[in-house]
Amino acid sequence: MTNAKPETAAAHLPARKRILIVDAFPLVRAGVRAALGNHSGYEICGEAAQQHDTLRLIRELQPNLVTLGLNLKNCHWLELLKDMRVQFPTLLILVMSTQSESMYAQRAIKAGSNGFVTLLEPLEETLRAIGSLFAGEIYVSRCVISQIASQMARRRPDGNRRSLQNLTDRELEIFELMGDGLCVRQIADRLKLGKSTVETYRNRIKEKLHLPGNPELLQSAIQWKWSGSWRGQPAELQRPSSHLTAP
Amino acid sequence: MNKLPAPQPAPNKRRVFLVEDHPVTRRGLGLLIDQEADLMVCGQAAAAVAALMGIQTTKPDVVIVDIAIPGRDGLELIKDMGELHPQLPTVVLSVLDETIYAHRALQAGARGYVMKREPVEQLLTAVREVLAGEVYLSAAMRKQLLLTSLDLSHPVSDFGVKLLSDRELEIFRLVGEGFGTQKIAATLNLSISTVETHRTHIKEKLGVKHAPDLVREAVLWLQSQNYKQ
Repeated sequence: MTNAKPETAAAHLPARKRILIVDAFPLVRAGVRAALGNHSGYEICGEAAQQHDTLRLIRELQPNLVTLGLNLKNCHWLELLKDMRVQFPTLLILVMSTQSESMYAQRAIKAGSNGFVTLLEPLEETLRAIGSLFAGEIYVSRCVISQIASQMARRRPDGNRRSLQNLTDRELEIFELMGDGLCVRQIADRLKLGKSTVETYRNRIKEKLHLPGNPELLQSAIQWKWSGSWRGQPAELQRPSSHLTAP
Repeated sequence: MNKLPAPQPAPNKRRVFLVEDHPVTRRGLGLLIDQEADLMVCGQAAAAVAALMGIQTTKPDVVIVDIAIPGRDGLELIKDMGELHPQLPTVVLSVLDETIYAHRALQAGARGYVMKREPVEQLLTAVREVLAGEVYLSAAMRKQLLLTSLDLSHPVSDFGVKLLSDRELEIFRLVGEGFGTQKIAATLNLSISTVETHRTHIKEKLGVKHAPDLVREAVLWLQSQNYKQ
């Protein structure tokens, strides 16, 4: 074994890098395990499917790196990511997202993750990302990078006026919870906020997205959550309502 | 670990075709199926067109479909498979909540519905049950379906949008477009209270309680209509 540079605490760390897999879906965990399993430098030290287990297992197993899915139940991934970053400042975190939107990548990196890949990419991309993270780099997958680049190229002065990018993390979280069908009271309970605070956030979201009212906001949130499409504006008023097809 | 040659098509193994767009999940699925004594993966695809072609050539006994696959609605793929291969059973594997999506999948022709967050054993059970000619739903879903069928005000065979009158359907469509009660009233020249009454009736007929649930039903329905056009 070659020792390129001395590592701190190398005495009690095993030679192989320890990786914890976090995702709500068993099949994704199995796939990640398979993708990393054959690599002699890595060891899968555990799996977690919930927020609570994630933080506990990081504490107990002391992994060098966590792969983090964004689908854990009853917890918003941005909050979890920030918690992880605060509690475990040196832990490497690779976000593995089903969302390929660059907006998610930018937020993930800002919130303290060291890398971002999407599940749409080949397995080798995950390996490449993990290698980069252990080399001390920040890694964002190519398809996301090219998205960011093309956005920059397209950007006009008011080009992203209605974009979800303008929302703060908290506002995005509330927008997504609305898309899940939660009402103001339920959102307030979930986030441990007052009802009026959530209403204030809701008004700010409407303003930023240029949505005239609550029905339009709710529709947009549900559309976003369920189909991933963002129209950026409510339906045109002149939509014909005379011609209806039977269901 | 020994490198094994590609699995030989054993006559006693049932052939499974996978339709899933995430390589990581596809790998997990492949491993899961191939390690079972009675099952083997015969082919896989990441999108609907490739899936239809692959099924034609590999002749599977059962198909596992992720209904969030791109290109077109996974539900539409299930309907196409039903037309082209009426004897071929399908199990839907989905991130989407079963209480909202399972009945849509069954109506499209799927024989089973499993959520991705469930333990993998459920998927294996589902595959074996539909291979045996059964329908597979989770225990919670079976219970919900049973309760709905016992509630005589919601006959299961005619559940949902079909029950709406023309006027209610019109309002339902506008709700899906993001119109609030006031705007609907203005657009259709109705009073606000009339629209509210219609909304109440629509919610009753669809079996939903709260406004966000109504909007969700309307958005999803409108989306399925747009696919048909």
